[in-house]
Amino acid sequence: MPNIKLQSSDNEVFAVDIEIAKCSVTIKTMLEDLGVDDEEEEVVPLPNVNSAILKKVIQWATYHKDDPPLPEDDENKEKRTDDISSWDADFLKVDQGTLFELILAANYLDIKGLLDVTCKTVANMIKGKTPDEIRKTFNIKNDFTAAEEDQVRKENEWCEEK
Amino acid sequence: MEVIHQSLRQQTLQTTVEDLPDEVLEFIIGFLPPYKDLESCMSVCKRWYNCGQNVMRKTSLKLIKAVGEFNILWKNIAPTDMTPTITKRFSHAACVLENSMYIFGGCTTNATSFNDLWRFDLSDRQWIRPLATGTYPVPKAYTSMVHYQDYLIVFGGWTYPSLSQYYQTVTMFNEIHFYCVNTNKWMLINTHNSPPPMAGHSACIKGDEMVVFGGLVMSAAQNYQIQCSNDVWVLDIPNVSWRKQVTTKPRPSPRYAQSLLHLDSERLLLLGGVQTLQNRFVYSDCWILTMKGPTWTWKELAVKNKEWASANIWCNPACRVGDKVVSLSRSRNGWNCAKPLVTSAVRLSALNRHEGAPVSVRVQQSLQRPLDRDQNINGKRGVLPRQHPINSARRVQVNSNNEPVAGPSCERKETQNVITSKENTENSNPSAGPSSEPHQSGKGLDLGKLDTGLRRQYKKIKIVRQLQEGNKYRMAAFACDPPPDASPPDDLILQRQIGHLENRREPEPPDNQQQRQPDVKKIKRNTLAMHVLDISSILDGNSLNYVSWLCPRLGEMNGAPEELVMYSLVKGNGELIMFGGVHNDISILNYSEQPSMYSNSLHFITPPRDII
Repeated sequence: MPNIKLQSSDNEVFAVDIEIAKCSVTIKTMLEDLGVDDEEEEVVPLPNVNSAILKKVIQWATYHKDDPPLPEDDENKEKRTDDISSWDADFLKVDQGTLFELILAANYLDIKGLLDVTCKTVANMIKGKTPDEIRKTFNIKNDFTAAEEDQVRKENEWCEEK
Repeated sequence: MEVIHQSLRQQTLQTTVEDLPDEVLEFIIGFLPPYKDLESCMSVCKRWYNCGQNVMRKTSLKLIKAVGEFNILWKNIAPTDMTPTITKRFSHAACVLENSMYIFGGCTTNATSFNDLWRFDLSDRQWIRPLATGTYPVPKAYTSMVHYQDYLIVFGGWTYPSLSQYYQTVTMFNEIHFYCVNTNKWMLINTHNSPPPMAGHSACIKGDEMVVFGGLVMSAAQNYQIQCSNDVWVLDIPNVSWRKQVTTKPRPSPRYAQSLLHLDSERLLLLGGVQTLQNRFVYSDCWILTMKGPTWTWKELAVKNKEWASANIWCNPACRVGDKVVSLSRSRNGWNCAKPLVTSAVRLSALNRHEGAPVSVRVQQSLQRPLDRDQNINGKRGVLPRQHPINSARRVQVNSNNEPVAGPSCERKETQNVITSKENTENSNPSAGPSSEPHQSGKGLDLGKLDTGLRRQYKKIKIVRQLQEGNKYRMAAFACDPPPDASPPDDLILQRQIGHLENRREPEPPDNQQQRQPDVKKIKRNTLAMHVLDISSILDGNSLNYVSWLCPRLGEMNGAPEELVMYSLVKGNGELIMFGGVHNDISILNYSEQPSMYSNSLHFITPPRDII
């Protein structure tokens, strides 16, 4: 199996099976655009991903390498939403910083499966919480003035679309 | 490992939710149910507010797009999944207000009406029965319920006569009740200049007014006979006073069970409706009511692509979704029927009938409908596989039978009762039997007779079914048994229907029989299919004089419920919610308690999407 070398932002190089690396649409496109040269193992620099996160991403991609390809967007097929597998759930038992780093990496590398499962994990952290609880959970500052806050409360009725 | 852990710890200090780009934050928020959770997100901070707004907008647009492209998902919540749960019912009123769908009243059989109010929490997907204080409405069905500020306004409706008092007519109401969702209190409102008691009317809110159209009315002026109405009444809500609104003519024919949809601050759209009292009319026409000036204006719109129209638009609620209107009706299971199933009232209006003049055209809806698929099955089951030659011979026989009886000759038999008519036809059958003999190459006479007998049996079943189907709405759900002196017209209807049905041509075998037959065997039920009316031609500054039905998707959609009527259909956030209803099936006529005939299931129509 040909390998590809991925270089993290902190200059650590990871040798990865090229098929696994291709679960990242960003890498896949890059390789296609450059034309893959099987002879020479190129080093792909990933300046937005540090080694710790890249390692996690590779771990995730390796585990999911045999997953059936995701259906094309919005096919008329019931998608389960509470479908975070137990492996993924364990994999994502990380602190918030790592979770958001993984989201950023999945977004940058364009790995839909990883982005889905990480974002769902964050959505689950939001679900059922009051605004104040959400602020506490994610350490967000409330930048509404009192008047604005009142306004938002009133507006909460669903806007009738045109 | 040490190194990794250290660097992870560093990241913890650095990366927060604030570092996510807006589109990712929107993506995350988009996984949340678009009700309370979305509102909570929007109250967190300014950035989350903007992202939430975008999610909200996209959620709406996605539903409009999905509906327009027939790319939808059906999701069901079975009542057993939830406790407590609302009882099964139909002809209830439904309304969405502040993340909840409210259901009021309705009925199960002719003898039972409800006055309970239930709230379905759309965020938590839970039924809640608020135990309200104040003056409750009486048990009734066919009321209107709209929301105004924090209030639900329940108006009109009727209570079915009990079975023990069969000849008692229904009781109709013109009471108005306000239910305040915040104080959980019912209030009976005294109004000035009330309209007559009514049921099956439609109501919409326009500013501080409630606009009411049509319905069945019972007024002293008409000697307390039930009439259909095409009047417009307006309730000034702050002053709790009614006025009868002057409108231009021509105006829509009197009707009830229609849909009245809000277009914009000045216009309402009227769709469908039915008139089953003396004559049976079903409407699929479409009107705009412009509510401006001292005289409001009715304008009829042309309806294009009627062959794609919802089959039962006249009795099922339509729901607006952006520039589309959704109506659910029986699916045609993959084979499109060429004719519109319901004759439109456009045809009626083309007759230039003076308003109020007696109606001269009866819509024989049952005749226009293609045979129900189940009936096809019956017909086919009656034939032994090796009798195909007879099959074709029989068709000849029936066809030749057909001509003399259909049409005007039926009307001359007005005084005959149903049974006579049946006997007549049965008598004519044996005489036709032998005549088909020569065609039965290689088959014995006995077999032919047996076959004719069998066939007659099935034909009878079919006829009963057709009749029941045709009259069910009046008998079961729209039950208003006419007073004894009004029976002749009814008998006339039965008489004519039997006449037509007995002599109706057998349907031609479909060309694609090979394809159809497996379908028939696999799916022995009718499911609801979505029909979509495109009203973009009359919105956003467009003032064209037509609306058009979109070509529906063929075949059954996964998860679509069995055919129901008298359900409610309302729009939530990015989804349509259907609740309750009664199965469109003959056993409803048994008048016995058949709880399974009614539904308390919830069905959701959504775009394909992920919600946690």
